[in-house]
Amino acid sequence: MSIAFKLILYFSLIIVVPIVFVMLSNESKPKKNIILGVTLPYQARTDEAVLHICARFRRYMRNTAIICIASSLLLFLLPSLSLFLTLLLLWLEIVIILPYLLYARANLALSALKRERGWGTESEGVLMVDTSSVALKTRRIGHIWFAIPTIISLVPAVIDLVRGEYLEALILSGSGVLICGLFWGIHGIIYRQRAEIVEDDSALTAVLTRVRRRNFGLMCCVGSYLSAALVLSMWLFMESNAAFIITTGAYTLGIIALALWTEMRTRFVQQRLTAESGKGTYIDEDSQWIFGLFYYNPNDRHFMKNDRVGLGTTVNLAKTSGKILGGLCALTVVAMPLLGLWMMSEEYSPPTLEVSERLLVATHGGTKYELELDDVVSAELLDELPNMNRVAGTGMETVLKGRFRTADGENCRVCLDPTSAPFIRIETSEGVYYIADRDGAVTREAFDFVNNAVNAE
Amino acid sequence: MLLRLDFSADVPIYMQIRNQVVVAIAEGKLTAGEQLPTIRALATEAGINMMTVSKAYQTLKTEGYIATDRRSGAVVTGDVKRVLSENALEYLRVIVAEAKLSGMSKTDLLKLCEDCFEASPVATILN
Repeated sequence: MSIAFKLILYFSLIIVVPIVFVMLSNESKPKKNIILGVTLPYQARTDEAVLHICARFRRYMRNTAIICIASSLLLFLLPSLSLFLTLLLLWLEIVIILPYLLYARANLALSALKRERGWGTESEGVLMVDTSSVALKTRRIGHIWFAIPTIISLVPAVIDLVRGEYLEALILSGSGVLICGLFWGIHGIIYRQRAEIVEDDSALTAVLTRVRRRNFGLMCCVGSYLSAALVLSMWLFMESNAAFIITTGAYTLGIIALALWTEMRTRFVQQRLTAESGKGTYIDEDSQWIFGLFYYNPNDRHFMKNDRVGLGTTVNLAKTSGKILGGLCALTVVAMPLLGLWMMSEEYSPPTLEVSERLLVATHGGTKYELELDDVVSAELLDELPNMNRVAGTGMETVLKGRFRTADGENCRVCLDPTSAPFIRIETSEGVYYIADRDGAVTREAFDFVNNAVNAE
Repeated sequence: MLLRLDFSADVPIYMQIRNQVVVAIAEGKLTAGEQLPTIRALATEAGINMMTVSKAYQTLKTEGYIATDRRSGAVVTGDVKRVLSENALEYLRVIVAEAKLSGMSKTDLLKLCEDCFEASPVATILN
């Protein structure tokens, strides 16, 4: 189980490596007159020094990717799951940051070359607006196409509400509606983003803008249908762990494939449409981009800004809201290993049982179940746990806690270490509990105490 | 047409928009009947206040370069007044004063004006 879980974790995270490295390496090819975040004239594309910087960048990226993947295999030597996760997240952090450092280095080298060759046309504080493309009416995907998957996501909650068991379906549907709503909202935002201006050619601006918006819009639409399908399949196969893993895995792969396909398709179109660009007048906004990665323009009131190449979006760091969001994103990346540390504390702190005069308390971490002996209907000591699926809570090799459902369909609350038998099954007026101390002797002692109290009544 | 808004310049943004639209009409980049973005769309695209765009359009409308319509937004008109605007006259006075102070002769100034006039091809709309 542990190795399977490790493999699932590993493959869900390692997919980031090829994505980040391929995406960034792709930026060394000219698109919209931009190479590695630096705007260059057409003649620079065949310049020896430029080609050398690009080739060196791609070589470094390839070698770094190989080293990163090879080093990650060493993590499988670690016996503990939480330690594995902590170091995997730390590794992931390095793998995310490292290619961007290489990118920034190449960007600086290319910017220096640009200054040296006198290729700059930029003027600080200048904003270009193509009035013709702004005046064009844009056809967007109708709201109905986003409303359908949102309604589909609500189906489990509605049906289970009628049946009377609605909590899990409500959580599922709520998540589905939230994701579909997010896609719907993003779709609206992309039509308010600035046009893709490359040069003084309104037709080109209009086509590039339309391509970006259309592709992004389609991605959001298909993404919301995939999310609705995930909600439905999770609801239909709620009892099966295997089906859960397969459907979430398929959904994750589907979303990644969709995003990559759309991104690469957009990049290909941008590359093709601007293949001959940069010979005459062209737009240069390099002064507003730090390392070609971070947008900083105090004169732009927009909070969000299109990435210079591809479909992505970034924030304007000159705005306070941009600083806050940028800071939160950075904090999330830096704090990722903390999740592993939290898991370590969960894995290594034992579940405990305490008995007081009329109270039995099962504790693990932040979870605490207080059972009043007066409420106990029956108590049973078990050497084996029944088969159960997690509904909401923690399911680790040495800790099970939270809400579970047994194979017989019994809803219960659990707080125990499944490797430390025996376990106590307690039925109270509020529901069924499976609890245990990691020390079997303490569990037996607690059971005797509860059993005597019940029999005395 | 490509609007170039310089936020560090002394000229107000609304005046930059007005000036560039006038130059674009004169150079034939904007022709009669061509649609300009709506106030909201241009303000959103440029990330500037709607009042700024509104002021620029109002000035252009008063001077007869554009006509505004609630349904179709702003449209370039062929009905341009054959007199210089007060702003342009004011600029001209400043340029003449600077030329005088720099010791430029009237002939040289007129030659310079002629060169500028020739360099900026006036569209059929103004002929």
